[in-house]
Amino acid sequence: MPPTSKALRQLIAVLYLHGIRTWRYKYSFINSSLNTMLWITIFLLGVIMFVPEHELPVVAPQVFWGIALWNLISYTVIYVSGWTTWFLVTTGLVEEHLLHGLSVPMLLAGRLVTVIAEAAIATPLVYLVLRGVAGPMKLVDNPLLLVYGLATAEAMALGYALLLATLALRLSIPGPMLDITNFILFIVGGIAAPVARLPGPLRTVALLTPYSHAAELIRYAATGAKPYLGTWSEILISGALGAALLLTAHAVYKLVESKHLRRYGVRGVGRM
Amino acid sequence: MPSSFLDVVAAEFYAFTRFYKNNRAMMVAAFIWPYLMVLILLGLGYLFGSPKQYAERMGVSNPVFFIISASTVAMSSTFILDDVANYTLYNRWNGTLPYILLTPMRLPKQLLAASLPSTLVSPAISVSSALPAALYFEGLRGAGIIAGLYAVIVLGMLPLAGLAVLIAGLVLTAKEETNIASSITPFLLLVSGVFYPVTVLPRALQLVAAAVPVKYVVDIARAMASTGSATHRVFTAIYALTLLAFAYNALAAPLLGAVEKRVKRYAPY
Repeated sequence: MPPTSKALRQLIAVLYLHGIRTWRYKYSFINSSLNTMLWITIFLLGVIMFVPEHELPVVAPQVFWGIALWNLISYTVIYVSGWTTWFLVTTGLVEEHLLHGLSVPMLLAGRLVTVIAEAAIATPLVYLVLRGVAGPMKLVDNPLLLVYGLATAEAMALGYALLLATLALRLSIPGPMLDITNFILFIVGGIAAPVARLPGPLRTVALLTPYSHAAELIRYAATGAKPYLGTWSEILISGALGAALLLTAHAVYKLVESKHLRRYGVRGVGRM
Repeated sequence: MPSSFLDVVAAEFYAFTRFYKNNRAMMVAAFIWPYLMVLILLGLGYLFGSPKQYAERMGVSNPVFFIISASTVAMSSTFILDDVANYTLYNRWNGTLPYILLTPMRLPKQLLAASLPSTLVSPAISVSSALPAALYFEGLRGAGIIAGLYAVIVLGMLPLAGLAVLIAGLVLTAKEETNIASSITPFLLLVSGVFYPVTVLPRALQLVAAAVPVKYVVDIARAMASTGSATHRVFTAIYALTLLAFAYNALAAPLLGAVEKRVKRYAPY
């Protein structure tokens, strides 16, 4: 079978697997979506208390997209890297895939089916709550750019999640526990607030954080707030960073697979 | 020799402490989590608005200290709901659930015993993690308030005990991979107005809040951090918590037998 055809068949199988798995555990899935929405709402209402009422129409969409993006990013990391240790390794599926010559990263990337489906349920619900508090607001100005921004942010998150998953396979430590940057980057990494709003040194940190470039595009596409480095620069930087992170993750996994997994096997059978 | 309830509680305490001993990273995470919640809320608050605005709306003197107290409540006051449900799932994954169900002790009592270590120890971890910040911002008064919060949080758990056992039964019979009722925890926190006044919520949710024990725990935390006199508000909340403890457990008691029967008949091992 030609390699392209094999990869395509595997992609279809992976999508089918994650689709059917989400359906099989539908109550867990619905519960998880509600869980996400409720936690976000708790924080959102808390943040709104800091904002003077006359500034709400401007600030509310920015807060909404910041939190929606962070939700997408952090759930990608949790669902991909966490699932590696808590499910894939425990059930012995890594060895099974290696023996059949199938791609473990592709199997892990399939978790995006669940992540995206969950975001599709939770995000509109969060909007409804926010609208109830802040009143009606315009959320999308340029849909195409918004999709591009979200897609590049998701590519970066997936690349990072696959790197953590690979480290988890090598070190036997659950991926999310290795993710110490999640909360800090949300605030100082230009995800929560526009880069221009951050104080001097944090602005530099934000510009060095890959997610900030996608976030700037999303805010521009949603509210018209001009990106700090200009629209075209941010389009190019986001796309390049998304691709670079995915390629790096793939290369690191291949290295760990050949130098470690195929030689010494997968550690971490059992829950503890 | 049949085991007494206290024997089972002691065994559960042993298992709980061993778990933390073998998972030190979990222990560290439990200490750090309240600060992460504070970081997010304050970070966003400072970026988009001002803490003065927050203090005025919430009627508290020190918003940072109040958010630390509220995060401690948020982290620990609903442990009982999650931990009892996760206890059953965890034992199912490990294959030890059949042994638990076969012990002579009634299942609700067993689940209650299993919930006690987490109910007492988890809030203690959250409170200890908040102590340094409380000392820094409010001195000894702050440390006293945080220590007092521990007692209030434990009191707030009592009304939830029966509900927790019912949820654990539901989770076991649902045949799913995770705790399908885990969204109850953030829902209770949402209607309790943990970081905001409940008046911002729709009217229906405000009515629900009146029957949620966590709301009264949050009320006490807010009263303790408020600018005015707090005694009346604290005693009203304690009174409400005591009433709810009796009401909820009296309502849950007749259902527990039915839950046990259903679990033993349908629970997948």
